[in-house]
Amino acid sequence: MREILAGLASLALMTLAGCLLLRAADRNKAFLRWETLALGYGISGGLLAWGMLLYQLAGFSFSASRLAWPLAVFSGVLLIILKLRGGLPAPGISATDRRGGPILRFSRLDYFLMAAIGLEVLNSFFGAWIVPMEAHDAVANWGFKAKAIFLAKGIPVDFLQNPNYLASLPDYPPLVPLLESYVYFVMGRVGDMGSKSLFPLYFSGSLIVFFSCLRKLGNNRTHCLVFTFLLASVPYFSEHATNGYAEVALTFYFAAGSLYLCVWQAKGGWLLLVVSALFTGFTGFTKNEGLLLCLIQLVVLAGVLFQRRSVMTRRQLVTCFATYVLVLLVLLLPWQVVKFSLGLRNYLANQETIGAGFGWENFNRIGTILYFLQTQFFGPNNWNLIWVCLFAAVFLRHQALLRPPASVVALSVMLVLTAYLSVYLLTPYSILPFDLTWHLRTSASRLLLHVLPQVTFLIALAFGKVEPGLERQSAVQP
Amino acid sequence: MQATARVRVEVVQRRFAPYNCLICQHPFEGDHPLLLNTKLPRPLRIILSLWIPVWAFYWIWPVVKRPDRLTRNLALISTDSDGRRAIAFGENFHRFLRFCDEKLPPQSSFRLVGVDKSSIDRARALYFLYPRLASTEPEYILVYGDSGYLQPNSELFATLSSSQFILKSASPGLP
Repeated sequence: MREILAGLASLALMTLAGCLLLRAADRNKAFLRWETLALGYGISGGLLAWGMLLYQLAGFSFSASRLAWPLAVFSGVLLIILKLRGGLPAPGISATDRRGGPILRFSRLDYFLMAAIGLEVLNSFFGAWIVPMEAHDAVANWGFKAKAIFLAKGIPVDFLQNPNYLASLPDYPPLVPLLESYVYFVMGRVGDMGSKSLFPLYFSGSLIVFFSCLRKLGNNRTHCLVFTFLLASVPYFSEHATNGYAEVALTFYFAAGSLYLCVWQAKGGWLLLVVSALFTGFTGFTKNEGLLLCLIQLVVLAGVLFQRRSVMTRRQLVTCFATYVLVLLVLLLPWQVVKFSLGLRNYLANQETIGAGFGWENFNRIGTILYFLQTQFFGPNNWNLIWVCLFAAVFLRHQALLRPPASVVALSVMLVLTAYLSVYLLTPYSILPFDLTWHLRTSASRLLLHVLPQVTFLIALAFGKVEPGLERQSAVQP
Repeated sequence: MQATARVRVEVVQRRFAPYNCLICQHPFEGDHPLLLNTKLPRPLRIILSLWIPVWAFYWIWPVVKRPDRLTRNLALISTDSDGRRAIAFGENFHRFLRFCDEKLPPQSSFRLVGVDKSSIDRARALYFLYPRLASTEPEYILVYGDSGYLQPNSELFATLSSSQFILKSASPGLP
């Protein structure tokens, strides 16, 4: 119990800094109270890991005081700034009273949905706390690196270059291990229960971000709760909130990056664009797949800007794109520099395997890939009926999905799925005993998880109902 | 012509009439006895009415199918972090890892014998025994579940059981 509380206290300190930063930046009260909390957690987690990497590059070693004090001082300074600016701004008002009417009472269905979402969230915390770090990637990769960082008081270069530990994927970005090690530093020892709190918090954050973005697009509160419940109750998602894999962190960051870009497209506002850029950057700092997702986000942003070329000046278009690219570069470059300077490479995806070339016979794999996908499509034990619902949305409401803002998310999902599936077509599988079936079995469902919030969002935009007066519309200003 | 128009009006009226409960067909006015007491659009009602049973099923079914999971969870709650690891890793393997953890010096190198290279047990062992490093030229050979294992230029260092023991290599440079 003490371990859990210590872990939560360390994460609370981190989140406080993020929330205050967001409050200071959010002058127009764009974010709701819970949303600020979720975004504050995500932003502070990403910035802390990024800062730790810079610490390492500057030659400092890590310790509890060196990590916790800057956070506390940063929070204190922000608090003073906010006080001087005229007191702490009240959190954003809800979409219900924004209309000027009375706040709607919760219906029985609302209570049921909130209870069901709460049950899933509690279950994720319970699952994370009672089971120690034991799942494969949690011990072979993320948890292992966190332990190594804690014991070495920095990122252990010799460990990353050790050829006996290639299975730990030393080239993978270190956001999750750095955050886990931060919890260890504050706790003063390696404690699984403390660091595993990170993952259900990412899960809860994903739900809050999802709900808030739907609400920002004017969806009815009950409908937002229905779709948030659908997202929370996908068994594979809630399972990944407990096992110590980095998938849930990647899903959270990519979902936030993608959904806030969608909201920015509809509502405008620089803060939303910057938040989207930050979260997309953290996606690339969480896993190697995140780099691909960053590229896809840039393509989607280019599409959005192209669509808005008639309502924005050329200067505004260039500034938006340049800001986004700059944020990504600042967040992603330090780790890429470390990676290339140490010569870290992936033992599965490297120059040799990629250089093995593409043969047309690779298309024979399509049958195996489609077979695997249908096991997921009709796999309610993992996905409930989410893919069936997506299928129904595409067939019945494709017109709604092709219109902004749904088209922004639809394009993103389509590009991600195409890119991921083409990986299975291109990989030469020159290293035995790895083959296509093994690759699909061990990774494909996790890749599908990366777009789960966006897929649920599309279903919501297809079947949900917009409140009168809050219709979705494209913003004129950036 | 008029009949067609009347039918169309009826269809429109039916579509926009207050929704009935999907389960009991009771109108959603007043105090409805069931939870779905709201004017949800039809697609959402259909989605929820299919989704909730599947969701409930996968909450209940694992407990019914494998009641030992519940017992395991209760055991996990009531024990300390070491006990949790024993339950998660397997009692026997965890005992062996703890034995190795006690006997091996902190900055030593080891090789694991008797555990499949791609198995999750190996990943757990490497994690558990760190900062001791796995090596192809190890100082210690950790033998798990292989009573007949012999290694030239090595001597018995510590024994947990006849099939679980540690060998110390006399010449670590040799494979």
